[in-house]
Amino acid sequence: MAESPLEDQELLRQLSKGNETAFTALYERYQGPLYRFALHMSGNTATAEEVTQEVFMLLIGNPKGYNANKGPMSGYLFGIARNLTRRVMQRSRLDLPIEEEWLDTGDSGFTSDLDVLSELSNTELLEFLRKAVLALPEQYREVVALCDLEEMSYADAAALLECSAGTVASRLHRARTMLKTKLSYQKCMK
Amino acid sequence: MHEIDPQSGEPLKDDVLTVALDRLAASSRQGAPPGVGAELATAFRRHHARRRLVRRMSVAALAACITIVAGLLSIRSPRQIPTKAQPHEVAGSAPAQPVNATSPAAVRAKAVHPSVKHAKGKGATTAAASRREFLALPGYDPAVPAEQLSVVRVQLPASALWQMGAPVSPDSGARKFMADFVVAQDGTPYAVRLVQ
Repeated sequence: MAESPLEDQELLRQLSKGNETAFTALYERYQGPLYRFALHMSGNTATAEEVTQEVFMLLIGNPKGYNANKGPMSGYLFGIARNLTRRVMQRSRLDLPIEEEWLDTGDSGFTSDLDVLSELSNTELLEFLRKAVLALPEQYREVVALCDLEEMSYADAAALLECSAGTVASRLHRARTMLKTKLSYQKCMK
Repeated sequence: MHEIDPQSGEPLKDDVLTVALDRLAASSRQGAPPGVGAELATAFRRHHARRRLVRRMSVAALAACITIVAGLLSIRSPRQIPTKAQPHEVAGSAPAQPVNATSPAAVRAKAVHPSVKHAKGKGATTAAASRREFLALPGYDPAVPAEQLSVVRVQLPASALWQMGAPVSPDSGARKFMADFVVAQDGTPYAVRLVQ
């Protein structure tokens, strides 16, 4: 996703002049990552669509809102998407962590043979992992969605989340630990 | 990196989770539905059509304003009447020169600046000289451009001329004199010369 900032700026300049081709190019470049980020954060396709649409509507309405001196275009767009996702989730009360529910499943029956990789070949466990990510607290879910699922660098994620790269790494480590714990529970439930 | 499951005591491989997340990422490579892109493209076209319309209307409004102001200015400016007055009759900003009072009269002459000689007193100028030269009146404003001045010929009683500052004797009473007045656009007399 690391596109040339100059190219992004030129496209944005053309967009502000009404060049639809430039808008389409920017849209094609960023709609996928933004949509997936919103989807991973909310777990809801309607929310992801709404957020994606809103991000680009803001870009259309105020293309000068982006300041190249403050960072790359991707960071700017993800920042908008992040805020919009939070707002939509607060509005629709979709941000209900299900961690407690899983933790209440009991602590008996852990198996030592955690062959998650082989199990993930089926759709059921893939869906479980998706839910596990959704169940993470927001600050951990963000770093998983950005760094693990969208392959964003720690530095870019740190700039977007307005924290240090070390904090991003720390949160990611903590998030992965929580995911592994959830996978262990899932395995023992089967 | 390895994590120890506190309950099972078995190591959980970090690679396993990494691969699982990779698969999750690969399985969700979809983007926004095409409908979103189509709606945004429509919104983009609508937004810029509106923007262009506003810009055109602004330009048209500005052009209309300029036209109206220019029209008003042209209406308010007095029409220039051809004059038979000789250019040298009035000397513009040149030094004061005596002017021949017997030259053809200009009822109204535009863009003329009289050679004005400031009167030091009503009796300071002889009547003969005053018949040839303009004398400045108290209302004279040298800052007013020549284009805004006109010369008007009138016939007034001596007493009225004297009150306005013209070099006539108040004793002349009701006797009428013909005089040229340099007047501003608002009618303020700036200078006078006696014709008869």
